[in-house]
Amino acid sequence: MDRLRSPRDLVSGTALLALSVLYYVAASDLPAAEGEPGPAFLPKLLAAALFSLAATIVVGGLRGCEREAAAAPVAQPLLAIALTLAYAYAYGVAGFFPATLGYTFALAAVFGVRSARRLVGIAVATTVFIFAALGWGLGIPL
Amino acid sequence: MSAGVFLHLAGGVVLGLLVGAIPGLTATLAIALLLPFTFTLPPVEALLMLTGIYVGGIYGGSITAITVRIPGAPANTMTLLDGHAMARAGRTEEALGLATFSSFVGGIGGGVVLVAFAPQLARLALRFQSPETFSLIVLALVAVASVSQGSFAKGLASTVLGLMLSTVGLDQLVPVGRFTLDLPELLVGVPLLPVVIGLFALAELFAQAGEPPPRTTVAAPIAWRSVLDFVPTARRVGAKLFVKSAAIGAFVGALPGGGAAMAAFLAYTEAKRSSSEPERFGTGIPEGIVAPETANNAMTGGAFVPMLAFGIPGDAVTAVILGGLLIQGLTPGPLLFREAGLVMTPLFVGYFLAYGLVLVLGLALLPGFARLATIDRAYLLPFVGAVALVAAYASERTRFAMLLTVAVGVFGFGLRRFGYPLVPVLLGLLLGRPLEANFRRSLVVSDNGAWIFLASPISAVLLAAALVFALHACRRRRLDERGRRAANSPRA
Repeated sequence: MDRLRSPRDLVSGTALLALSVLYYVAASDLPAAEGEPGPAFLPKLLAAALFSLAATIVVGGLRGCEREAAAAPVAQPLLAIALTLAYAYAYGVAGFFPATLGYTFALAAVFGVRSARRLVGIAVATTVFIFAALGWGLGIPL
Repeated sequence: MSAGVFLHLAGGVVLGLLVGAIPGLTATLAIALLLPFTFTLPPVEALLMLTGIYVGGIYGGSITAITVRIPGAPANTMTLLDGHAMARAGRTEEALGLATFSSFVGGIGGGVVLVAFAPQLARLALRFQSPETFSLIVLALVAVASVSQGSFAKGLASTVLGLMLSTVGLDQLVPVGRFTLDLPELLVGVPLLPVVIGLFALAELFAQAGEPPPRTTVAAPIAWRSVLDFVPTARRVGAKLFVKSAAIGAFVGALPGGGAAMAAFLAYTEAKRSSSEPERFGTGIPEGIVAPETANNAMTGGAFVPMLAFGIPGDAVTAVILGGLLIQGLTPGPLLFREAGLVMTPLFVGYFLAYGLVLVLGLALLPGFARLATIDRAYLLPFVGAVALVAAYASERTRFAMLLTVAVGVFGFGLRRFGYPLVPVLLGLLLGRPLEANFRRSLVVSDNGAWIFLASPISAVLLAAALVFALHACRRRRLDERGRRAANSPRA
């Protein structure tokens, strides 16, 4: 019988294995305590648990018994992530209005809006609505 | 109840209805986005607004399930089967009216359970000391992981990741910082709101960026005069199905990790099993709407019970609401009920009023809500993204909070992409500190003897129940895998 593998489980399981090792190493630097398990006990226990679970997932990935559905495209999500990160930076530098106008304009384009007029409309309407509802309505400093 | 408090409740219900009626948006997302802004509200107003969104959101998802065959939330998937079939047969108003009435009945049933049992359980909680509390939290975490989507190992891994996040910051007993990456902002621990917003708002937005827009059939206009067509149908269905479905929903809601989807599924399968014409389910029969909608709304009342009595949330939404309670300085448990006049009484009254609003507003505004299903997500998701970051900024007033929110959003997107559930991460973060504190205190009392967890009958029973959940989950996954191997094996 063909052995079909689950690449996603292999990748994620391996990442979790690495994380558990790093977490354990960091926990080992924590001091012991008198009369109780101390601050390192639970982290070490969690690291061991994560290591076991990650190993299970990796083994399951090697034995994978079903073809994985094709992964959803990653380019658009990466673009959305980059835009959101840029928004977080720009918010602190340029302020609420310019940052929000630019972000909503660009994000609407990522989600398929092509008409320039609609893009501007979405950006302006969203920014004004958020300002009115939160900044002015709830008095939250933006 | 003052007019101001009622307005907050009504506003929450309307917002929940709107959000629930739009595919791709959920009550969890709405609450996650609104949570930071409830800081500015008094505790009762904040709690009732969140409750209103919860109640409205659970019901609102049935509208799109019936009209355009897209469930507003997983809880409405069973409603879609018969609901949309009825709509195709030209009985849209009857189907929507049934869903509204069933939601109302289920919600009232859940409310009765909430009022009857939550105070009793809170009194029981007085008998819980550190070993019992630790074991209860273990049971809750294992139960949630066992019913989450994906493999049990992935559910547990998500739980462990949440617990690991909870260890960041100053240790509770020894004054030492843990895993702070030398960032002073993390000395007080990972803040809750950026995690909630990142996991349930941003991760959703990033995921939707990679998915094609949902294909919607154009919903036929709703005739307002026909929304009461459901009344004779509801009479024919009979009270027994309503009561049974409400009982299933409330019970499932009270289980950690139960959730509306499970409640709806169990009620639907039970209704089909006990029906004299099971083959008609899925073809557009009223029972196929009544059972799941009654159950998933009764679930809301049930889910509040463990959350208010023990601080153990029943599902994702109550987990976020629990975060809201904690932020307001309200600690679930017996003390919260002792101050009943301040918080609990308005909550109980508000819960019933919320379902009254669902019935009235739901029926009155059905034609409008049905159109929301066709709103292009390109108009909504930029709004969601912007509000998410503004909410993150409002929660801590620091750029660090915004960046942390984005980081958690990326983390949550990655987990989703690789098939890991997100709710256990939040539960691990919420329950990690009390888990560790009660564990260490128990070992101090017992002089580092682990026997203390088995010496207490309550603790032993809870740990045994956790083991049963885990074994059952492993067995179920093995049976599923065997079935998949058999289906995928090449023919000889």
